[in-house]
Amino acid sequence: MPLIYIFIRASAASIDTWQRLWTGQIPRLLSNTFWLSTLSASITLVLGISLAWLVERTDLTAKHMWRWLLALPLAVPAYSGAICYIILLRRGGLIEQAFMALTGLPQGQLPVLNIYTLAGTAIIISLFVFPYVYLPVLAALRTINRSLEEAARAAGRSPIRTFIEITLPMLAPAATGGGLLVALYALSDFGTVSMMRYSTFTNAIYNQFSGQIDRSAAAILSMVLALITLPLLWGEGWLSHKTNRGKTGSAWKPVQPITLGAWRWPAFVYVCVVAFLSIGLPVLVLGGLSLQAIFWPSKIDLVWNVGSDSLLWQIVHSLGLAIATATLSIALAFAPAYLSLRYPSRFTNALLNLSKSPYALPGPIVGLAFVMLLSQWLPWLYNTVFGLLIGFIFRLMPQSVTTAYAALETVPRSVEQAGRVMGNTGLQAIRRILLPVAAPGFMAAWALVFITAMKELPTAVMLRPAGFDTLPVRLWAAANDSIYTQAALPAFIMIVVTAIPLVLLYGRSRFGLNRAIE
Amino acid sequence: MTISLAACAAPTATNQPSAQSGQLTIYTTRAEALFKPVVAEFNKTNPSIKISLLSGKSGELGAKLAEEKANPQADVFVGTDMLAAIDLAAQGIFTPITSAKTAQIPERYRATDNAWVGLTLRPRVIMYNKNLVKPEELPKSIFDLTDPKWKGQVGAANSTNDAMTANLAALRKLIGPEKTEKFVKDLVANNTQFFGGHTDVRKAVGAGELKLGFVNHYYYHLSRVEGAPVGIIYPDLDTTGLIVNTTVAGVVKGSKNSAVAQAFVDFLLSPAGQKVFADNNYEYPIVSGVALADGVDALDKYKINDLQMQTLYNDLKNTKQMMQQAGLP
Repeated sequence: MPLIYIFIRASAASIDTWQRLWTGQIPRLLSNTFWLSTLSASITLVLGISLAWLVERTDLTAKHMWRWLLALPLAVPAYSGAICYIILLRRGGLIEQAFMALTGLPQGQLPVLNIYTLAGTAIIISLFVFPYVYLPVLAALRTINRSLEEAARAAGRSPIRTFIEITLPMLAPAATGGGLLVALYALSDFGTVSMMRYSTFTNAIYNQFSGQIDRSAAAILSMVLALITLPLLWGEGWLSHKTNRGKTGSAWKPVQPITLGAWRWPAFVYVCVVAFLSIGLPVLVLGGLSLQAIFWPSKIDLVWNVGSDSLLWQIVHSLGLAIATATLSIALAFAPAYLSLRYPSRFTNALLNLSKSPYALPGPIVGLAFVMLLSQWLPWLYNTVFGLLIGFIFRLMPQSVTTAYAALETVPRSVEQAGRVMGNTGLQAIRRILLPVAAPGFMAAWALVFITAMKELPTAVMLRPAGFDTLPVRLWAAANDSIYTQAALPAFIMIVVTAIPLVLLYGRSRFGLNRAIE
Repeated sequence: MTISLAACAAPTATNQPSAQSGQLTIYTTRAEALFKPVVAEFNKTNPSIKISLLSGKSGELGAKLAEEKANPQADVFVGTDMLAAIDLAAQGIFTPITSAKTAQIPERYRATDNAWVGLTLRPRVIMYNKNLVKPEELPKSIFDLTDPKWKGQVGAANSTNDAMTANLAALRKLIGPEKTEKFVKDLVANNTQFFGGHTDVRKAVGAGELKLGFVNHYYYHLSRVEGAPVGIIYPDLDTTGLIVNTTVAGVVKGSKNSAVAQAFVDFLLSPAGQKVFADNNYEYPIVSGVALADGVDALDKYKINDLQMQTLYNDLKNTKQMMQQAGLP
């Protein structure tokens, strides 16, 4: 439906507008967006594969802690990560202030790194989304058959050559799938690129649409973006299909890890640095600024502090909305995921692809399409919490369907068939056998959707009823006015709240999260 | 049903706001933090009116108001750019404001049919870092910002910013389209740093990242009270005069609480409303005789151009095209 909305708006545009966009904005946006996606995917592939290999295959120090700790950057929304780095690295930022205080030199002596660049934006995005690669690769390393690697080692190849020649090709499908997810993320990211002042399709669409006079231009840009994203999406679906076919489920066995030897400490330092940059630093900076805003407020803080009571309500709103969204959308995702898994056909695959299409649309446009649909045809739902919930469920449908699909996939068809042989009807077999067996996978899927719902910004901005602000909305408002001390507290709370289910999940079920994210 | 309709239609309603009860939904592009004190002040005399706020950017709220036209959700719109309000009025979003206090507002700061009214004034100024710019080299005009000696040292808002757009639309009327386009091109050529909003500009100037900033006047005050070493320049006083924008209010057509909505706008134009609305953001109350916030310089000693803002609206589309052509980010 939002696709139709965009189409209607775009076709209403004059030829003049089309021409202006094609010669003016679109070439620059295409190249910006392309480079950001490619660079982010490359960085995350390097980070994700190397970290997963170190954790899974070597005698890395404290590897059991890293296993779950390196999934935690998922709890840090990339836009709040961006805020941290801006606060630290900009001219007049914390690092320069510390330098001036320590050396007594005047301002301007310390060369300041310009982070508002393609590289800066890609690195910041990568630091917070590399688990999209790390987790599936970690899972693949556990499940791929070890005998080939062992044979190669026995034949006298070094660990590095074994990794490059034997392991890497086997990891390729899982890693590529993760890389594609990162590329899709970079295409649809709105908050981070806006804060990094890097223009891609998403924020250009938003800006165009803020220009008010000519909203058809925003629709045209959205259409171009959708045309780029849809093939990537379907490619990702196709790839994950293929990956799972080539997998041998039960080949995992505990083996002697590779000894790092002299590389032990460099490897440890490398993992520490990545973990520090992607989790430690944001928590420290945001935590510190939150304390500053609470205990040593500046005059601006006092004006901007909307009051702790409203912050409490925003926590309640965010949590309630995320829990309801995760629960309902996983329940709704069951049918398309189950059908396309058990009865693969053109129709069910189309259903699966269709349910992924919201990924192809920028959040503000999804929000606006819902504003139009609800206010015109379902006015009693419009501007209600329920209407907002529907928007969230729609927005997160792709993730729900893919994660539910992965959860169901962990259950071999034979198990369900055995249940039917024992005299259960189809529905009984689903209820008595499939659901209990797939439960850990579903819990993981639930947690992932919950995390994304906690972070969701544009849908909440467009669809929330008056007075129903969420944590990301508050963070966004404060960050837009560069009142970073007031943005820090909601960001910090969000990270803590989101990290809890992530940690619980990783502690409880062995193959929960990494299976689901695949 | 008929009774309640009659009550709503009663013309005396706006004269006795304190006697009312009910609820009110306000869409505002002003930051929620700056608007909450206004609501609190209103609720002092109208404790039984429950107010819900939806704050957002003008694009978001404008789009929402337009899509909601058939089924209005908001009762009052309070915006921060006059041209955006004129645009909404042109789309038929507003119904005329009935408050008798509108008569105190200069004609150029309100719609002829009172579909929207100005609330506070915000002149465009230059702010500078006192540690980095000596008093004798201070620019006197916004055109000095294109001087190569400031290359890479000036901050301004980009083309997505309403205040910047309105400023350029005004300039097109004052000095002509060609000279305005040249000014923009020169700014871009001088490696001016463009930001999405003025807060980034004022922070950069306050921190010494940049020497000069082209901003609305209150950004200077916000940096000043933060303790940053900043100064303010009222530019072009001998030529065009100051270019001034306003915050605005409108009552949404089809509002289900229109009597309360009218009462709220009436409050915004009262001395108490003007004071609290202007104070937190160091703005100039549009109604004369209201005390200014601490440290705010009286505006009447400066020359202000006498543009009719409503006429700028007709030129808005051309202004936007010019900004794109001139390469303003």
